Amino acid sequence: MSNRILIAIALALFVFQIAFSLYYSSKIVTENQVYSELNKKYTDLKYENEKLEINYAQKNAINRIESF
Amino acid sequence: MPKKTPSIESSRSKTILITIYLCFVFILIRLFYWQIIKGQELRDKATSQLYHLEKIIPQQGHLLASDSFPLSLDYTYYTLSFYKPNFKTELSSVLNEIEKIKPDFATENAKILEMYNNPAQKWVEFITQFSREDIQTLSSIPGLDFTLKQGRFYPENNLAKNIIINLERYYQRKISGRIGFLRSIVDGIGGNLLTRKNWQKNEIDGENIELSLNRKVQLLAQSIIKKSIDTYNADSASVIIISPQTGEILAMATSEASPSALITKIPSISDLFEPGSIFKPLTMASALDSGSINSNYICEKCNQPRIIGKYTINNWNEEFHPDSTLKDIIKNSDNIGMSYIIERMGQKTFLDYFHRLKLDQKTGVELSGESISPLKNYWSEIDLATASFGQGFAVNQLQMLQAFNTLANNGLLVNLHLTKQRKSEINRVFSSEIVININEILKYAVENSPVAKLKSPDLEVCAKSGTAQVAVGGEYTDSNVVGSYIGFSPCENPKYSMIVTINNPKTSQWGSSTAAPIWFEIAQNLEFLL
Repeated sequence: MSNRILIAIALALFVFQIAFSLYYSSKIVTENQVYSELNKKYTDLKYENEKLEINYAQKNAINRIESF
Repeated sequence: MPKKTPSIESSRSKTILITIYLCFVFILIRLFYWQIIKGQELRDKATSQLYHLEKIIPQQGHLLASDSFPLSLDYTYYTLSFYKPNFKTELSSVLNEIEKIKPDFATENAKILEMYNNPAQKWVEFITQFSREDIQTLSSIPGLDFTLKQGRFYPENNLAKNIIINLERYYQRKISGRIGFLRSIVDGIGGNLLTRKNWQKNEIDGENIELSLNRKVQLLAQSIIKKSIDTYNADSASVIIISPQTGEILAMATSEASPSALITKIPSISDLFEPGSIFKPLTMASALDSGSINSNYICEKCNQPRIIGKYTINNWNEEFHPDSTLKDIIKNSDNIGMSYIIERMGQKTFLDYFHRLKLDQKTGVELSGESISPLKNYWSEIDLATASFGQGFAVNQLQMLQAFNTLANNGLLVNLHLTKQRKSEINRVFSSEIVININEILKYAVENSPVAKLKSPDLEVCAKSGTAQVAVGGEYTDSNVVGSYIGFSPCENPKYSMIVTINNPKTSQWGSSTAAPIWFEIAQNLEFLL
């Protein structure tokens, strides 16, 4: 009887371990994807902001440079 | 079938055993080699593959004009490079593709393309700047390597560019910020993985610095100065305009005729000049303030040149004005009268006021390259006499304007500065009554001199012109002069103080005919800007 209980516990732990790894690894992958996307978005927005700043400065300069 | 003898069997087993031992020893040696000798190198290699160290470049701060308009900005660009061993594509076809986006690529990089043909040259980097969109267009060509770089963009082109670049150096630490680092574990394709082993030191962005420079006033000053160089056929000219009460510099413009002039050099602080007659009001104010003379002073000996030892002090037009009052002395720019005033004051009092006007020390403006001239230790009688009309010592233009501004600021000396954050130190030099007295004299001198026709009737000006000979090889010459005009407007609660200097004008040597017209042209336009 006690052997069966031990085997059952071992199997339960094994199943839990696998389920835990599958759940969290998929979560990590998803989080990483979100992180990468946000990082890319941040870089794009930073670049966009830089371009807008330059456009604004070029439009409102009083001693303007025509080409940049 | 012959039977194997036991000795043969034992020798075979021995051979196998020895071979196994040898293999074992060999494996041990290899393991020793990889784990002990090469261990650290391989560990480093593994770490570098597993971890990725990334620099996080901070956003640089900007210099802002008085209206918060950016005078300098950052922009991101990419440069193209080839590592020849990795570059298998035909160069001409790549160039064709690039020239669809950048038509001048081959011309711009002619020298670098020549280097490309040198077999010893493995790595070439081109100077042309590419945008992110350009890179996306060229991404289909294999072997192209783009490096991210940051450039500085000056939206106002050459407007106060030397001042902006100088200030960027002065405030380099504040503007640059601090680089950050990210150490993270990377996946197979080099993407960052979020783990607890990651380590990050955040970047600190640079600070914006708000300047007191007024773009419109600066542009006005620059354009008038540039035009005046041609009008008066001069070597160079400078103008500084400040706010009298706060000491904020509104414009600082220089026009150098020589194209070889250093971009960061600011002649207004680096070049010294003998101020000449523009110094007279300060000598007179010092004499009145110290009680050496009173406002009813009359120069009884002004009817002839003054002789001191082997030197003769004369007036600029060799005319004499007997019984001159203080108003007459300033109006006629009388050197003889000034020499008698300083005589009453004496060297000690004069040098005390000279120090209080900070003419013997740097202004401390936030620019590098300020020069001052050390004051001489021994003063003879003639030295003191010539100092009364601004000769025999040298100052920079900013020092001179800072000192003269005490007359515009009710006798208070404020330190001149270019950034809004900096608070001025304020010291009293002259009493208010003396300043009112001197300003009346200056106003009278402007209204009753030929320069009066340069201004509109409603423009109230307290100013003085000056012409200083430049000493060449220890002797003054008439061929090399600095014409100057300094003053403020209006005389009560002035909106601005301004100094104009013009170096070696060929059309006329007198400051009243060269620097004064520039001063009044700027002043007329300033009425609409300030």
